[in-house]
Amino acid sequence: MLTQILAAMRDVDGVHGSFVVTRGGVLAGKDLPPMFDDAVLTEVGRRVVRLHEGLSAGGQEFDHCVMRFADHKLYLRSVANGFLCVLSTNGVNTPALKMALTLTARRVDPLIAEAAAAPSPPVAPPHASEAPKSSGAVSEAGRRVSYRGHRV
Amino acid sequence: MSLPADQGQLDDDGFRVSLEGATLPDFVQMECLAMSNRVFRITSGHRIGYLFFNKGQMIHALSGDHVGEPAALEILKWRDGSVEPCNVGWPDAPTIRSTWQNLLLLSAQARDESGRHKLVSFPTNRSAAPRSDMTKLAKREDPSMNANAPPSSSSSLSLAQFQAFVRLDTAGNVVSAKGESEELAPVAAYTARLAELIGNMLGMEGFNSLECSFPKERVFLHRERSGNLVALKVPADAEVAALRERFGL
Repeated sequence: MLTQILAAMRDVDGVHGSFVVTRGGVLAGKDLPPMFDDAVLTEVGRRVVRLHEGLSAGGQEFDHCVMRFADHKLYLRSVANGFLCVLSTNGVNTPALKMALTLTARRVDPLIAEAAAAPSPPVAPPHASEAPKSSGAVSEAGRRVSYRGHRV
Repeated sequence: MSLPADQGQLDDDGFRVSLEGATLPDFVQMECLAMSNRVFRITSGHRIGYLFFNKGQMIHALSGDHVGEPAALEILKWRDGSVEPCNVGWPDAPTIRSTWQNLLLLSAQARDESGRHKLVSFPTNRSAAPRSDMTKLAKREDPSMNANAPPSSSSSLSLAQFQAFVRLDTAGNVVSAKGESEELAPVAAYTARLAELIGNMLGMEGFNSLECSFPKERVFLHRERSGNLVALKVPADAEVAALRERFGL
């Protein structure tokens, strides 16, 4: 569901894709080419959270943030449950992108926490044991699989 | 003292700014804090003078009738005109021994402090004007002085609207600062580092700039070609279109 919503961002010319992380830095969903693997996006998510914390150290939380690189831009939109992150070219149509960001943010926000708490998130969150168990598939969610003493 | 011939060459790094309503002491202060090694031609009506900056000090000045400190003090009295970098011969030895701070104090005694309005315009189109650092100083009340300003000068940001400004070198040392910069400097340095790491992980090299919008303010970061990091904090309702254009945001 999240992926379908995020796919709408690519209607804007110049958008490569997008992903969503929770306030805890957990990857909740993505719509990006396969070369962006989940492990990388998870680490990016944690840094997005730290960036947000650093910028908000003065007491105000940011609404949105844009980073410009040599050839690309990364947009961050803060929502109640996390951050919507969009990768684009530098030549992206900014007004169109902002509009798409606003609409997409509204739709993904309620789904972020739900997706992060799902039993099979894209990448196991570092604090998965603290996440509420899904009401469905109790036996699957409750099953612990370990390898060499580490939960996997 | 003989100065290298290339010290008069223009530095490609940094902003090209248009300042309206600023004063020459403001300009001198900026150049000295930036450790500038340049010569500027000051034009005010029919008067022309030259200010020579070397390693953060004003070392030489020329005006119609004076040389050295008297010339500097005379030029600093001028209330309007334009400033532009130029290549003229450097003196064999400094003709000004006073520090720039002392010069500004002396000039301040003779200046009328009233009506000091500051406006900074960041040209929105670099290609619209010749590639040179061009600084125009003009009285805000005199619109005729703006006749030659670039079209983009309508997008302007008041210096007074900068809640904070700080420039950090690559080691994180504060090169220059204004306003509430003590809080801004560490936030800027940390944020820029995280932005670079995020970019690297996503295959996006060359962090250039960042804009962050808060309910009451905006923060801009910009990595200069020299590697220095510039951070600005402005109110949320400030006109920042030109700043965005300048930073590629």
